[in-house]
Formats: sequence, structure tokens, C-alpha cells
Amino acid sequence: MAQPRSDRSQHRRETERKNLLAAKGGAWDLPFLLLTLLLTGIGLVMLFSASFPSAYYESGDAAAYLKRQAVWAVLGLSSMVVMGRINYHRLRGTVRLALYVSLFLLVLVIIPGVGITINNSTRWLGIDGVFTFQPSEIAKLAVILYFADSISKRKEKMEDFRQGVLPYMVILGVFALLMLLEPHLSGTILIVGIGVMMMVIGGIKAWLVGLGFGGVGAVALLYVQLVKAGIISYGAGRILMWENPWLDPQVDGYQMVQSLISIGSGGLWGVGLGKSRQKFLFLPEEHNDFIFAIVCEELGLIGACIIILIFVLLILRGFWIALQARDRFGSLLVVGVMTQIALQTFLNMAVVTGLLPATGISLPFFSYGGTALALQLFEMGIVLSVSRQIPAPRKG
Amino acid sequence: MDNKPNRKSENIRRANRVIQRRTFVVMLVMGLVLFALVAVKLFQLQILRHEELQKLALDQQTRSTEVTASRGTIYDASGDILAVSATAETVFLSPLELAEELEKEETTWTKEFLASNLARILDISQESILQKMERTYSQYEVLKLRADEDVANEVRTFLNENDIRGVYLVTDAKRYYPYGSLASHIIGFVGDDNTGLYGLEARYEDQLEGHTGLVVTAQDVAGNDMLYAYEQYYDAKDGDDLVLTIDTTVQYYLEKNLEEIVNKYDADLGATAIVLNVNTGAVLGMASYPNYDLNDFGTVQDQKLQQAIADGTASLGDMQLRQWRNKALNDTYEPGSTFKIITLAAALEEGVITMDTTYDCSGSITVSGQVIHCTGTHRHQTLQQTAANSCNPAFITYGLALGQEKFYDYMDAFGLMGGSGIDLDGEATGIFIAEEDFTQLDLACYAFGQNFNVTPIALIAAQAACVNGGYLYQPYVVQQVLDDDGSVLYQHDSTPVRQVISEETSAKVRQCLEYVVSDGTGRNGQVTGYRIGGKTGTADKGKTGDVVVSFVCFAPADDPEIMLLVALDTPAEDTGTYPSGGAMAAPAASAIMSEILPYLGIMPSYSAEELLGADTTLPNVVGKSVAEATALLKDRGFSYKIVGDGDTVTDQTPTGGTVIPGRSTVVLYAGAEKSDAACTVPSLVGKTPAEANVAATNAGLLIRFTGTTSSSSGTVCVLSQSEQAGTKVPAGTVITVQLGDTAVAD
Repeated sequence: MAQPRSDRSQHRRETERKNLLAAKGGAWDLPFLLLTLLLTGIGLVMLFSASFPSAYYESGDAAAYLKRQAVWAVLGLSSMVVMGRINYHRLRGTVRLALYVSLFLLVLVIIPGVGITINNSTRWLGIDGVFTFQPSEIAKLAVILYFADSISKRKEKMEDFRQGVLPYMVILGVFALLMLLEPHLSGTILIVGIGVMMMVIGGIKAWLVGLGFGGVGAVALLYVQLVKAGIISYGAGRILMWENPWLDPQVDGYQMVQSLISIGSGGLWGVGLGKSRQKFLFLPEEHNDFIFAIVCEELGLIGACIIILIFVLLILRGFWIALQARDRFGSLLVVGVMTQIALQTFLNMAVVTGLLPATGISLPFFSYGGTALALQLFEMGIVLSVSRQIPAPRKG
Repeated sequence: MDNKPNRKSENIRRANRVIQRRTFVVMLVMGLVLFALVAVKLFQLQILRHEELQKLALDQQTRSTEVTASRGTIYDASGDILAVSATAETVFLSPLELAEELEKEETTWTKEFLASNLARILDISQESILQKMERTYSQYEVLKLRADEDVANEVRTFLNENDIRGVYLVTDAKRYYPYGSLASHIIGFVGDDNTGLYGLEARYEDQLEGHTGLVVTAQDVAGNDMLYAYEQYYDAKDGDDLVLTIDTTVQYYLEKNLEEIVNKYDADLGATAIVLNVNTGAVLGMASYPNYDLNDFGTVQDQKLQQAIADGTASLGDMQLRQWRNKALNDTYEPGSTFKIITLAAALEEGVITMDTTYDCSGSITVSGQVIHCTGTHRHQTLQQTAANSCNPAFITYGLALGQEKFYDYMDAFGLMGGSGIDLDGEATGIFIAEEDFTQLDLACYAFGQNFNVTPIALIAAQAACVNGGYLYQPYVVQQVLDDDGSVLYQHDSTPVRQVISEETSAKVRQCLEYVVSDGTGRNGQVTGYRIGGKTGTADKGKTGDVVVSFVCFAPADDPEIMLLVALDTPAEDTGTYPSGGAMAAPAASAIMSEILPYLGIMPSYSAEELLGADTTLPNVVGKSVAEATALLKDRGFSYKIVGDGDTVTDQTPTGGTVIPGRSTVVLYAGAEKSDAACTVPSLVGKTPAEANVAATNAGLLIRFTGTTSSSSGTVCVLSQSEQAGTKVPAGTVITVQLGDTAVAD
């Protein structure tokens, strides 16, 4: 009795799988594609504008950063096109591998002498100055892929704590632990955020969601209060400088003060594209994590809001695709990718504007970092792939 | 059997609905709520805090280089420059940069090398330079403010030759005062930051300073110019120029004579003198003593003040303040008898006295039970004589006749209560008893100028009003303010503040005061060829026995143009001259007037007697026969002496064309060789005019008398001579001697 039933369901699954893989799919979602290209283009222009003084002072070639970023952008766009043409269901076969590889790389990077250390953080692999990448970037993609695959299969079982929550918590815990060892707090926050968001959407119990967010919120508030009361000293500088960077504008608060000065001096219309003065070595990390401050200085509130609007449209369109997706797997893939983009964009802007305490999160499409850009574009390819299989609206 | 898959599919549908719902919520939160927060924060930073943050940005991104505006020039009445700004350079070092340079391998020089050389060039101590180099947190330590150009060039050469970076020069302006100490109290000076601290420099700071220009350059964090040019220019606007009423020539004569009598009579607390145009209020000269050199205003110049510092009885700071004080308006004094002019004018105006009023002086007067003594017992006097004798009881009587209220009103009307309002800083206010406390006895004292204090400038303004037809003018020193193109921004308007007394009364006052000089205590103030009116004053300073002696005079007495006040504070009593205004101040006033009246173009009008002694042009008689020459000289009123026995005049002393006093003796050479030997000036001081004439003629010199020639007591003698005794001068040189009476009581 069990045998034929098993055969039958297996047969059905395989047929389903064949159907899924055979699906040719329709056209890419044009708005999403255009928004992605728009952001990539604006991102490159702003990167050039923000980076040329540093590039000039460092190497004499004002376009040094732009050139490297542009190469990666081309690679990224190619990977996006390729991925966009691939049926995303084929990714299911790679999820475990991706998970293991990324775990391997995360372990590799913290082995002394293997990873590249910058600013007391060992986050990079590769050959310094030629090609480097952060395993945590790959880890984010791996988590998205694995969680999408796994959660989509569990369906209503997600409501069960032992099946729907515990395994994922363990996986996220391992990733978080490895990344905290680098240390890479912002990456940890992102990866946990992405994972949790996928679990939430995947259907874990509502009270767990409430408890989780409530708990995190409460802990954060408590932490800030304890730091202010002087009871906790870990990360106290960060919190104090967030509260008032002008307490120490020369050293600890320097980055934040310079960022606020950049943004504030932009005013409504900005000082003009390319005309930022803060990028002349006043604002550190002006082409990395703090590129948004230069954007605000050069393009003003108007320009910054337009760029935010493009991000918002991209995110909304992304989630719309998730809502329309053919199946749970596609939907969760897109949710994962868009959560990553949205969280990363928000956290970056929040840090740069002083909404949240400083932590190193790059701005998607804008910040300098070739592998990250290429991966982001590849992820856009995943979203585009999902968009191709959105069922046509039923007629009648 | 059917139930199970149904329930399962129901569960899946429910799960899918949850996914849909949650995705939608997450979409709204991620896509809208979070970014709305960012947008709000951006609005806060870029709009609400824009200005504050932009200022911070500009502060760190730009380096502004000041373009110093040239400070306005101060000219005297005839266009001579009294104060001018010239280019100078301030030398400063950047300790931070020097420290960085010193760490570089290619740097060949050392700290000590740099410091010792700069110390040598700039004339400052090496230690101070090394100390400043220690302040490596700083980028700006001044080594020398406003170094002269040659010094600056030497520094530049030294820096270039040794390839030193970190020491810089910036162009700055330095104030020069071409006349040094001349009119120092009026002009004042500027401090290290080129802002006026004293005198007109302070008073007209806003006009003189101009606007500093700016060149704003964008710079990167290391202070280098940014890759692209960002420069903004704000033009410097030079300061406005001042044209003063002060005339350097008048001022020079004033200061020369003032310094002379201060030294001669050992005036402990200095002296002041003012020359006023009575018809406009323009101050032509204003001197105060002790004075100082504007180019070196910190150095105490006066020997007495130096001595006080050396003795430790006074600090340098106090003595600096002393020498910077303009006694003409920063200090007040009890005027004494010169104030009788005011009493006289008010009493005549109110009709309580007339020109026919007489007064019998018994040597004292009793007011409210208090006996007030006179300088003598003058017996019966006419009104003019009471002025000429400076009779205190007479003037007390005139004052009492006016009554307290009227008298007080006149003092107010003459501007004595409120001050003169001159356009100089720090005018002191007079000190008077309040009107409600003003008793008969107070009035009695006020009537002859005691028991209250006024500034010399307020007093002379009031006295000018008494003689100019009754018009009170506000004294002033700035005639015009010109902008840097020379167009007139301000022109002083001399309109009288009010008419205090009538033209007729004023004429009577002039008549009385001319009599004071021709026949009274003011006779030492006579100036040959001029009608002078005046009044002496000798005021007690409390009960110490110290006095302020003063003399105020004006000329011409019938139609006054200028008025002069000379006041000497606390002269010594043992100089052989009786310490009184008539004996000490009047001769000085006469000397000043005799020099400035012709200079100001006020023509002398000689009496017949004076005309004989008046200056005459000596004709050239060389080549003429001796007979012809002597006839010509006789005709012109000259005496002559012939040396040699020829028939023709071969030479003469003085040479033809020279202006010499009439009745002088001319030496004619008839064949004999003219002697080249210099003559020694004999001592003439103390001699009578006749004795002085003989002594001068014997020495081969000519003599010119000025000052009084008449004396009731017969004590007229030479008070001073233009060439010091013992000096060698060419034969025929004219020695001017000041005649005077050394025993005048007031």
C-alpha cells in the first residue's frame, strides 16, 4: 500500500519537476529590469564622482576605482542576464552545495594567515590588491537559496516550532557565529535579518514573530539604556557617538560628523554633481559605506529623495514579483533577495544619516566593491528569472 | 479518506495566504516605512540644519586669505600727511608643518639653525622662536608683526636659500606717522590689530578702517587647493581719509613754545594749548604736554615720567596713560580769572553793568560772611580797569548782580555744563555744583573762575563766543571725510549752536579784553603789529598752593579770527618768574601768536611808533657811492656803520633784500674785506630792551623785539631769545627776543 503510493507521488513529483524545468517562461519584468539598470548606472556615476579625489591622491588615476567597478558591473550584468534566462527551479539542485561552500569559505577566512585583515576585521579572501571578496556576501546568497528551497518544501509544517524554526535558527546561529569571529557585525545582522524575514514569510507562528521582534527590540532598547547608564561598556563609544558625534569630532565622532556635514551642506538642491568638497579626504569611506553622504551633498535633498524613490520602486516591484510568483520557492527567493537589498539599503542610509549607530554596511549598486555588485546583479537575475514564470492573469 | 487531503490542501491554502499577507506587510515596511524614516532624517539634516552644517563645512573646506584694506590717510588742513598706512609683512610659522618638515629625510636644516637665523633677522629672541616651534598643535604662531619690507625680504631670501617650508609672510599694513609726536594727542594711534586705540584713529575707526577683502579658496584636508578651482573674491575697500582743521605749522609753533615753557617753568603736570578759529569752531592746533611719538607710542618720552618709572613711584602703564592723555579735553581744571570773560559777557548782556560802571576795590569783599581777598587793593577803577587788574571783588560784585539763576543759565548757554562736543574721544565733563545747591558764596567764587572744573576746550569755545559776536560754535578737528576716490563723504558744517550774547555786548567784551593786554595783567601777551585782546588766569588748585596759570587771547582784537588758550599746570615757584598767567603763559602766547598770525595771513597793522621798528627790506647798496648808500639807508630808517675808507660800497651786512627790523644798524664795507668770522650770540635774557640792543649790535647781530614794550612797573625785560647764547651765527643774523614783564600778578 505504501509502495505504490510512494511510487505514485514520486512519479507525480518528477513529472511536476520536469514540467517546472521545461517551462520556458515569458518575458522579464521590464520595470524591475529598468530600475536595476538605472540604479547600476547612477551608482557607477556616483561612485566615480565620490571616488576620484581618493583615486587621484592614491594612484594618480582619478578613474581607478571606476574602472575596476565598471569591469565588475559588466560581469554582474552578464551574470544577471544569464541567470535571468535560466529557470530558477534549477537552483534547487545547488542549494546544499552553496550552503557547504559558503560555510567552508567562512571557516577558511577566519583561519589565521588565510583571510585578509583590514581594520582589525578579517573578512576578505583572495589576493590583496588584485581580487578579493567577502565570503559573507556569498553566505547571504547561500542562505537565501537554502532557506527558499527548504521553507518552500515545508509549507504548513513551518508552524511547528521544531520543524519550522529550530533548524533554521541553528543554521543562522552557525553563520552568525562564524561571521562574528571575523568580526563582521553588520554582515551578521544582515544575514540573520534575511533569514528571519524568510522564516516569517514562510509561515512560522505569528506569536513567534511577535515574540522575536519584540524581544530583539526590547534587548536593543535595554542595551542602549544600559550603555547610557554606564553599566555596559561594550560598544559604548559607538552608541555615544551615535547620540552625539560632536562629543569627539576629531577622533571617534569624526566619521559621523563629517558625514552629517556632507549631508547638511547639500541642502535642498545640493552643491552639484561632482562638486562635493567633502570627498576631498574630509569624509573617510566616501566611496564605500559613506557614498550616500556624498550623494546627498552633491544632489541635495531632491536628488537623494529621487534615488531613494528608485530604490523604493525597485523594492516594491520586487515584492510584487514575489507576490505574483508561480510558486512558494520563487516567491521566497525573491523575498530573500529583496529583503537583502532593502535591509542593506536602509541600514546603510540610516547609519550615514545618523538614524542608527555606525556599522559598516555598503549601499547596494553604489558602494565600491566589485564582487558585491556582481552578486547583487546576479541576485537581480534570480528575481528576473522568477518574474518570467509569473502565470498570465486568467482570462474571464 | 476524502477529508484528509482536503484538510491538507486547506492548510496549504491557508499557509499560502499567510505568505501572501506577510509578504505584503513586509513589502510595505521594507519599501515604504523604513525609507520614509530616512527621508524625514534627510529633511532634518538638509533643510532644518542646513545652515549650521554648511557653515561647518565651509569652515573646514575653505581657507580664506585676507586682503588687508588700506587704512585711510589723515591729512592736515593744508594737505600734509599726518598718518598713513604703508605695506608691511607679518612673519609667522606653522609649528605643525615645521615638525613634519623636520621629520623628512631630505630636510637639511635644523630647528636651532632656523631659530637662530630668524632671531637674527627679526631681532627677537631665539628662545621665543623655539618655544613657538614646540606648539605643534598650532599652525599659526606670529613671530613678528608688521616687519618692514627690507626685513621681510631678508627673511624671504633666507627661506628660499635654505628651502625651508613652514615659515610664511603675509602682507599687512603698518601705520606711519610722518610727524612723529606732532599732534599726537589728536591723531592717536592704532594697536597691533590695526584698530584705532586713541584719538582720531579710535574716534573715526569705522571710517578709517575700510573693509578687509577676502579670497576664499577651497582646500582639501591637507590644506592643498582642491583639484578644481573654487575661489571667491570679496574686494577690499580702502578706508576713508580724514582732512583735519589742524595745521601742522600752527601745531608746530604751538608745541615748540609749549614745550619750552613747560621746561622753563618746570610745570609738574604738563600743559595744554589750543588755537581755535573763533568764527567756525575749527581747531587749528591743539597741544598737550607731556606728549609722545606716535610711531613708538609705548615708549615714555617725557623725562619726568621716565624718572617716576625709574624711581618706582609709577608703573610704565600709568605713565603711558599719562602721556596719552589729551589735557585739552580729557582733563578738567579750575580756570581762574580767564573765566571772568564769561562773567563780564553775561553781566554786560543782562545790563547789570555797563561800560561806565566803576568799582572801588578795598582789597577784599565779604560774601555770606566769608571774606574773599583780592590780588591787590585797586581802589577806584573803571569797568575796563577792573578787567585789566583782574579785580576779584569787582567781578564777584558783577556776578552777584546777575544772581544765581541767571549766572547758572549763562554757564549752561555757553556750553560749559554739557561739554564742547568736540569730535574727539574722551572729553571730560565739567564739575559744577548742582543748580539747587548753588549758593551766593558759590556764585561769588564762580564769578572769578574758582571752585568748579571745566575742560580747556569747553572753556575756549565759550570764550570764543564772548568775542566773536556771541555765537557759540562746536569745536571740531575733522573738516572732511573723503572716500578713496577723493569724493567728499562728509563736510563739517559750522553753524553756531546758539547766539549767547548780542553783537554789541561782544564788542564791549572785546574792548575790555584789548585793554587787559594793552594796559593790564595781559600786557605780556602783546604782539607787535597786532591788536590783541586777552585775559590772564591764575587758579588755585585747592589749598596746596599749586596753581594753574593760563592766558587766553584773540586777534585781531577788533575783529577776532583766532583765539589761543595756553594753560600751564603746576609750574614751579622758584624759577624767578612769579607763577601767574600774566607772567608765564602770556609771553608764551605772545610768542605763539607772533608766529602763527602772519602764517595764517592775518596782516599786522603797525602803529606809527611800531612802524619804525617794523621789519623792512634792506636795499642793496653795493656798488653805490658811500654818500648815496647812507642817504638811502637813512631814508628807510636804518642806522649804519662804515668799515674801510673807500668811496664806494663794496659789500654790506646783511646782504640786500634781507628783511630786517627797522632801525637796525647796517654795516657797509667801503674797500675793507668783509669779515667771515661768525659772531657769538650774547646772552640777552634778563636785559632791558636797550641793554639787549647794545649787546646784540656789539656782537655784530641784529635784534627784533616782540611782546610787550610798555610796562607800568618798568620791569620789562627779555624773557627769551631765538638763538641760544653762545651759539655761532653769521654776522647780521636777526635775533628775535621776547619782551615781557615777569612780575604780573594774575
